[in-house]
Amino acid sequence: MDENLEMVIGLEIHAELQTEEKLFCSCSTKFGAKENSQICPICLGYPGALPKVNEDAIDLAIKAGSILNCIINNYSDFDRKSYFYRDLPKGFQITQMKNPICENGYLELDNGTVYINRIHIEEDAAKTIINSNENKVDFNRAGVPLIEIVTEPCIYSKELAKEFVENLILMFKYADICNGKLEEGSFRVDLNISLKEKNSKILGTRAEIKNLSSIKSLLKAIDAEVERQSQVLFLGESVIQETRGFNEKTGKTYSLRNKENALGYRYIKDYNLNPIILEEIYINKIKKEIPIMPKEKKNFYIEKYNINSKYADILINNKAVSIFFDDCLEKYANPKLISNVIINYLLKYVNNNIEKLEINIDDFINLIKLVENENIKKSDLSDILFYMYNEKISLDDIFKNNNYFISSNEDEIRQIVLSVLNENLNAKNQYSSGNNKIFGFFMGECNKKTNKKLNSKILKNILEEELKDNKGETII
Amino acid sequence: MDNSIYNLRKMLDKKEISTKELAINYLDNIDKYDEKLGCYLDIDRDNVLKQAELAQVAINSKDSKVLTGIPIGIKDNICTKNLKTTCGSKMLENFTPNYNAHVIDLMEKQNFIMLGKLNMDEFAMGGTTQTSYFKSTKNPYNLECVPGGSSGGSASAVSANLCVASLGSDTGGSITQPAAFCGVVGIKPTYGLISRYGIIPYADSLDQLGIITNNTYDIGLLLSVLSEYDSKDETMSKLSKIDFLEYIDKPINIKGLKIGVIKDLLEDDINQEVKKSVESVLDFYKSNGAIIEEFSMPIIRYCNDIYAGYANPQGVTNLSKYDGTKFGYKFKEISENWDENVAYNRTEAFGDEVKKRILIGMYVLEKGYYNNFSEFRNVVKKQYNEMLSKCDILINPTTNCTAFKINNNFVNNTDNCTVGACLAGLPQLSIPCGYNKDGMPIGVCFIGNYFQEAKLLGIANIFEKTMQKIKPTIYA
Ligand SMILES: [Zn+2]
Repeated sequence: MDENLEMVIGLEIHAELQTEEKLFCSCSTKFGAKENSQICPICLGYPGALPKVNEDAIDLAIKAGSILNCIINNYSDFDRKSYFYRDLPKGFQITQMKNPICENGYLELDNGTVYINRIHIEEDAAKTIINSNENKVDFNRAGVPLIEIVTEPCIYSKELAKEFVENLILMFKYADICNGKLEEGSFRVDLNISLKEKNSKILGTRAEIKNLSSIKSLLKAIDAEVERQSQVLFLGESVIQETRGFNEKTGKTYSLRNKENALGYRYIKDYNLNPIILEEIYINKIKKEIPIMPKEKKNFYIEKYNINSKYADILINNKAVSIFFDDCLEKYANPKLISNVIINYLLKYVNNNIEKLEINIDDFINLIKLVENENIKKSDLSDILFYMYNEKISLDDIFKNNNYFISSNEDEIRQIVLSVLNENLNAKNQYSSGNNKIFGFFMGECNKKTNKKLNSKILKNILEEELKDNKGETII
Repeated sequence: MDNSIYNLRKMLDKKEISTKELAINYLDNIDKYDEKLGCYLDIDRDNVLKQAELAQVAINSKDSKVLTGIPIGIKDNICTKNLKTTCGSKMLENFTPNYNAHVIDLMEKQNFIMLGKLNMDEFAMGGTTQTSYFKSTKNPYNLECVPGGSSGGSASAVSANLCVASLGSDTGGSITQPAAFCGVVGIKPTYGLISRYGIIPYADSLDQLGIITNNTYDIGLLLSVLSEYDSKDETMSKLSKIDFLEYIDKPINIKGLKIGVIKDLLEDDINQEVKKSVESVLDFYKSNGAIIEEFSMPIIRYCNDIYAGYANPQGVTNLSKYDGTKFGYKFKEISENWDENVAYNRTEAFGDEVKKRILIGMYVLEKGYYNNFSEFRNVVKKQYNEMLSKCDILINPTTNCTAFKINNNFVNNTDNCTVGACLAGLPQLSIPCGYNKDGMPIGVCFIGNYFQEAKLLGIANIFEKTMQKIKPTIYA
């Protein structure tokens, strides 16, 4: 890119709200149900059926607005956005054009501040399933509540774009606003991008890149589009304002023929829905329901539990993990060891997308206590946690079938040491003549002698003691 | 008053007539006259007799309600479960909803008898009941004349005694105008008094269910049944129970009553016989002690245009769902291109009047004029509200002429007296007040403040009692 140019990014994010029911009817919003099994006259747009707003969706939009430091409007209402498409049952989408529920927010991040233009509530369209031989429409998604978050064109780096999207997903998960699954389409990112001259306040013509299915594609699409637009400008041509797609395979953006835009969207108020009137008291009540956000939680871990920043990040970056960590601490207050075991041993089995960490917490706490008392070797934790988490085997059964317990019985250990030394007189002599390296050999032989785990500290002490004694004897 | 709900209720409960006899009596009337009149689109005879049996059971067990066993006709834009609901359009030729309009549910709870579905202007767009795709409906007083519209089937059927009462709908005069043309009583209640769920919309902010009967008392009876609260319609007003017959049972005192007259409506473009007839109504009330208050309302002359610019943009969006792939219409694929298919099928299935109004609505929306029309509407509303703050009710002609010949070019102005109050969302009641020299009925319109239907009925009832009715010529 020309050194005198810089890119300006704005994001439009559609997040499906985690309500039980659709936005204007009582159909289920559950993902993955049989095609066209969650439908009714209202979400199919049957003649005469009337919408009725789902108040849970309003509450979640208030929470989203509050998290993004928006003004929550006391008055907002619904409009119809018209276009013909087979996935749009009524021929219009009910959205909030004129009076959105939230406006003018911001989010401060490490790489800068992202300013929010607006958040509005709208209904999702159906899903077109295109096979080689037929086009089907699955209306289960039609009428699922969405919020659209529109940022200002204020993002000047990929890092900030990435950080914003990642934080948004995490915060929405924390507040149960949206499950943030890009791959299921419950969180969709559209990218507005343009190039402008540095030091100039005038924005260039932007292109909108739709359907980015991961953060990785978002970043790739930014690169590709910056490349394309600088090429266009370099050739002395102008960037066209248009909607483009992103091809994951070629890593390039491509123009989407967009006929629906030939006519405007003909916005008009939807009179079947009453305006949303929100009193300050109500807004505050909803705001109070918002749980602690990841950033605050991280600081809390660092300050209260003395966990290092890197570990704290790992814990908060997965809501399920951080909840599990909190639950553990409620049962047993050893944040250092618990965080260590979670991060270094448990997490390698844990999928990043889980909604809940499914492990028997009492067993886990018992395990922590055994580690703390050195009844179990840390090196065995990986295996034990594999059985506990992946195989869902109880701690009792794990111990029944395996020998992980460490013996700390000094008499027993001394017996073993003596018998090993007696069986290995040669080696003993080598040690006596100064070959200290052979100490490890004795340790190994002792452990082989029994199927019990020996407390290595005690074993080492006794072995040293006995070898020292022997030394003396030989000299004499 | 033989063919009234009031009278038939007494006869049925006293077992002077059975529900079956009554139903068959009406089916016979339909057989005899409807071929000429063209009121009914669909009649399910077996079901009529089944309903009659159920009603008789209720009566026999002394469990009869207001509408038990009463034969009623339903305008074909009111959804009826398992009975075709076509809106008079080819687009819905084979559409059978699997849900009832809320008002149908309410009447079914009382075991009413649904005689069948009544003809209307296509999608309630028209004032003649000649724009129906299926048939033309005639005026029982002169088969060469229109019955008015869009609820022309509903008005003609009551007038010709093809049902005791009928349900219709009103957006800009679709109840009162045909009621006046057919010499029957029609009410368009206050916007929000009756649930709109299941009534196929034209303009959501104006649409309201309407009722056509032979007398004001029956209107009161039906209002009390139909105004039951429905949580499915957000725009329905939550009111404490209204006694709609309060001022009929205990007649209202006319003395000192302030009656407003919009003199513009009696000044220009009005048939002299109509004018004289309405003036004689005013004289009647005056001679009984009412005070007549004259108002000037120049904007009334533009109300038809305001209505066109305000209702049709809403209509456009409501018609957008009819892309030809749904609701019983047989989609014809003529192209690979979705938009072209939609255009083709909509062209095939919509009639001229609907197309004309879509164009008007599209034009207003695309040009961005809608907000202006919305503002004009507010001005009209404000002026009506001001007038009604200075008087008890307004009286004006329902129409400026009597029913005209079918092949006469449709005069676009027959709603000019009623459309203003429709824009204001006010209740209006039309009752017959005389006949012209050719024997065609003339209607007078009573407009009251919001939710003052009882008062309107009470005041109108006093004149109604003095009115000598002439039977339709079809019975001569
Ligand atoms: Zn639904």
